[in-house]
Amino acid sequence: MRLVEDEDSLVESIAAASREAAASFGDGTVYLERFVAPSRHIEVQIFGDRHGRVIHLHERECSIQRRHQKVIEEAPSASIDANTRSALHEAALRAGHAVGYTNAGTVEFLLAPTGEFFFLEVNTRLQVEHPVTEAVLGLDLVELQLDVAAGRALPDQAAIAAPSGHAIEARIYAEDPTADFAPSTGTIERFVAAEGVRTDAAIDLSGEVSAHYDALIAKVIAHGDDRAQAINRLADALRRTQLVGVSHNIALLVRTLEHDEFRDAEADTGFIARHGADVLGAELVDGDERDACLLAAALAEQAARRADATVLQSIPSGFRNVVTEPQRTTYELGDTTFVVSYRLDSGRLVTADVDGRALDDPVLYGAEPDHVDLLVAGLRRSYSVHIGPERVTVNSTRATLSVGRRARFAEPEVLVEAGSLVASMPGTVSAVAVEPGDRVSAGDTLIVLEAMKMEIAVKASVGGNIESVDVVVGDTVEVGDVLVVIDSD
Amino acid sequence: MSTLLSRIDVRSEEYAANRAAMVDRLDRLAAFHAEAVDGGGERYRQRHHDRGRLLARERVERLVDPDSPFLELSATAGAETEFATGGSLITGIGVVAGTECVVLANDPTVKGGSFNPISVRKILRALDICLENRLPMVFLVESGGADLPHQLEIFLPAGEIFRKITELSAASVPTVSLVFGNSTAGGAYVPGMSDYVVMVDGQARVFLGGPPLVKMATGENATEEELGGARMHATISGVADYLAHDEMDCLRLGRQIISGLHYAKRGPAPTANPSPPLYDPDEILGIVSADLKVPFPVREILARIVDGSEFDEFKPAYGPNLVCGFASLHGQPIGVLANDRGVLLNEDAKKAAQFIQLANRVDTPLLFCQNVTGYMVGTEYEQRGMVKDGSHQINAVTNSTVPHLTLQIGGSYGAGTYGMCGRPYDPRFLFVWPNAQTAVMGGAQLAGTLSIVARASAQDRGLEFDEEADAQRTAAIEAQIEHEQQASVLSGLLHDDGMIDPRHSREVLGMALSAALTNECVGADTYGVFRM
Repeated sequence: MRLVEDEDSLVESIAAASREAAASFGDGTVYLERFVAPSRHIEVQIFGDRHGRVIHLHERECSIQRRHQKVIEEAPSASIDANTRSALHEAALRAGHAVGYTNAGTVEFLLAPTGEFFFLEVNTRLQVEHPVTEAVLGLDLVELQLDVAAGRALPDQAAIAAPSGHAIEARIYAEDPTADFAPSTGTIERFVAAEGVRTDAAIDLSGEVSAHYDALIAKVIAHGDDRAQAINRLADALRRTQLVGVSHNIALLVRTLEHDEFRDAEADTGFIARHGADVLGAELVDGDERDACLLAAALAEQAARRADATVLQSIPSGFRNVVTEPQRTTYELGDTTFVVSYRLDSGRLVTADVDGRALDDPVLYGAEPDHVDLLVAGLRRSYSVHIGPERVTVNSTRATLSVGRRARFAEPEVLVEAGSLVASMPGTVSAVAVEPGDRVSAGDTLIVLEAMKMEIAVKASVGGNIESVDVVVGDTVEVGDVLVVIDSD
Repeated sequence: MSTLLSRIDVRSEEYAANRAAMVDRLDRLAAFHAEAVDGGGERYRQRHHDRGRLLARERVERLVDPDSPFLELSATAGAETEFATGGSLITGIGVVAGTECVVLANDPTVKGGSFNPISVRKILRALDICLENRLPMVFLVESGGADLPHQLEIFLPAGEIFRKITELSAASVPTVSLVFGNSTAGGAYVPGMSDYVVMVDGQARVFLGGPPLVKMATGENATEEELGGARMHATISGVADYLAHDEMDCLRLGRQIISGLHYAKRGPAPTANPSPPLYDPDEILGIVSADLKVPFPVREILARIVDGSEFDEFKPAYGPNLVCGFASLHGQPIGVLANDRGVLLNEDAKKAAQFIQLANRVDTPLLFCQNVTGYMVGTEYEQRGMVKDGSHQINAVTNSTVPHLTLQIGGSYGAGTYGMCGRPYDPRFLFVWPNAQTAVMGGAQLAGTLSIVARASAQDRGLEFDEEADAQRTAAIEAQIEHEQQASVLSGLLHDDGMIDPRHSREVLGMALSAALTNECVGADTYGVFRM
């Protein structure tokens, strides 16, 4: 799907959309639609049986989207009045009747600020967001589908209860909202769902996120007596959810849910773009709270090292009869490094700082490899920690912070030739625009990579002459593979 | 096992006074440590950092395993001498890639890391610790060689350094030199004699003679890099086995070497999760008498050192001035001999001789807690064979082959020092508390004895005794002995392995015991003839 805002980019966009469609679905046909903005996405759940009955199971609103894909969905919609609601339900039923629909289906509409709504499409399947409907109606839509398939009759529309309370679903994607939602692949080291809410996940405790499937890896559904309660429950559950090993959008989900605009049901489909995915998606913990999490990570790692010590295990951690410098651990969070320093004296925390910023009166009550009980600035928290092979993850109940561990000693460096452009994600080379000797300017597209239903243009980082092209169309590349080398000016 | 019951009153005036006195001494100890850590002072440390180099302590901290304990040895060597506190190098026992090692690190901020007579003693002691306990040596080298104005006290003793390094190698105790800077002239033989040598590119300089000396000797014009650069040694001479990109890379390679040794300890492994003492070690400060003439209950001390405060006492009703018994320390069984009242009588000495033999029968290391004024003198005791009984104890201590650890918690006087495994009896490790005093006898006794002898001599020769001169002389001698017997003075001269905070005793002894048990632990089956 491509948004075309000016005539100049029309041709290129059609070509790109067509390529993407051909690659994904084997059919490059595309069609054009009017773009309605700002808009809300409202959809009606319908069901049809083999006896000619079509009923609706009320509506869902899915206005929070990124890249035209849904991120947060709720039932019922909080932004329509009773008239619009019944008009939407009516329209959906008419559509269902018109085609003699059987099975579960969703009739999707775009709602303009004027109250006009436009038909989008019918999804002839159960959708990702169906649990919010289940939550407010107390129904099992899969069971209903089986009933329909078995030839049983659906209940009468009148027998369908009004929605009870409010339900919201948040989709957890393996992607990096701060890097334009670039999909993130890799091994999930750890996935721990929060208790007290429904979490449907494609992964168990761990799993693999490959480039071959959608980036959606889990969805969390909270139900509340009213919308505010549902929002609070869902945000809290997301804050307690631990997902490690791939980039994800949990911070963006939490910030969106807690945003006044969303709370006031004012958010439309432009919400994420308007507020900035990098802002919404930035780490949830910052400042002192982040420093406390980093200290918890360091202390848990400390405990793990002491537990694994093969000699002098019973001597207190970091014992020194002559005190010199504190213990240091370096963590990486994105491009930022943090040096955590601490000194323990018989298990008592004597000093603790992050990058020289002393923590506010820290008191350590206990440190285990998976759990740290720490008081900072008068606030005692229980930090659950997971130590992975390369990352350490801390959940403070407020957020999960996952940081890379900087090795104490650098391995002799693997040198990459200057001017090399390397693959930033695994994928398949779908186009090569240059050959050796070509003259390029910074920003020129050199290679197109395709991964996870997306096209990534690899652009020249500098101007110069192409020295070598190391891939051909159809090559599968891994992160870090050299694609093109530019002899820069 | 039996549990020791503590009966001290932490609210007593005596406790408070004792504690205040010990805190004073600990303040002095902290000041000595600060001097050692200060190295050559702020200016020289800054200059060293400005050259992009790590300080000796920074190197050591980055060499050892994160969060592992490090036991610094003889940290106050050189204190109360003309030389810098610390002896211009750091020595200690640290864990490198899971292996307990003796780490030595020249402090280049102190006169370029050059060796003075104290440094030489400190290095030799560290190398003895390597050999006796089979601990691998890791030497972080950056030294300008001998402090030449003191060559008389250095040249011959320092030769032993190189001898001991190759003796270690011959005994299959690994030796590793990590060369960060100068290691020239005699110093070149530290890496030269080592099993493994790593040199830092662009920093290490290892040669017998530098450019000026070569010019004088042969007329050759040569650069330092040609004569002894790391790259040259790694590619041409073969003096370096590994070329490190930088200091961290050098430390990484040092760890890699130790890791690759798969070095196995020969002694028994400790039992897991030993119980800490039931009582707070901080209370030791209030238990130890401010005045050493006042004995203090040693079981109260043991209750704050051994695992679970558990102690199975041997012959409790016999020879009660010396407490003997079995305990465990950080999961290792030990036999303990501890002075409860300063003087040793005939029964105490006999009990000690028997107990030492019993511990040897079961291959159990021994801990001596010294607070001893000596063996009893006087007609009654001499006639009961005090010399004979004391000799039994000294014989047993001497010929015992299990590891001995000595902790001096108070006085150590006369032959009591010997019987209780003082320095001349080669304990594997000897640590002293800051209140410790060591001498042939106390200052007042010594000065008074001299005065009596002088008075008798004058009388014999019919001379008039100059009372005033005698009083002055006596006072001067007493002051001299009072000074000389202080822990800081003896520790400054390397007569022990370090002055420690009494509250650290359990950790220090635990690490020393673990180090000692890197070697095998087998009891003696032969002793000298026991005079009966």
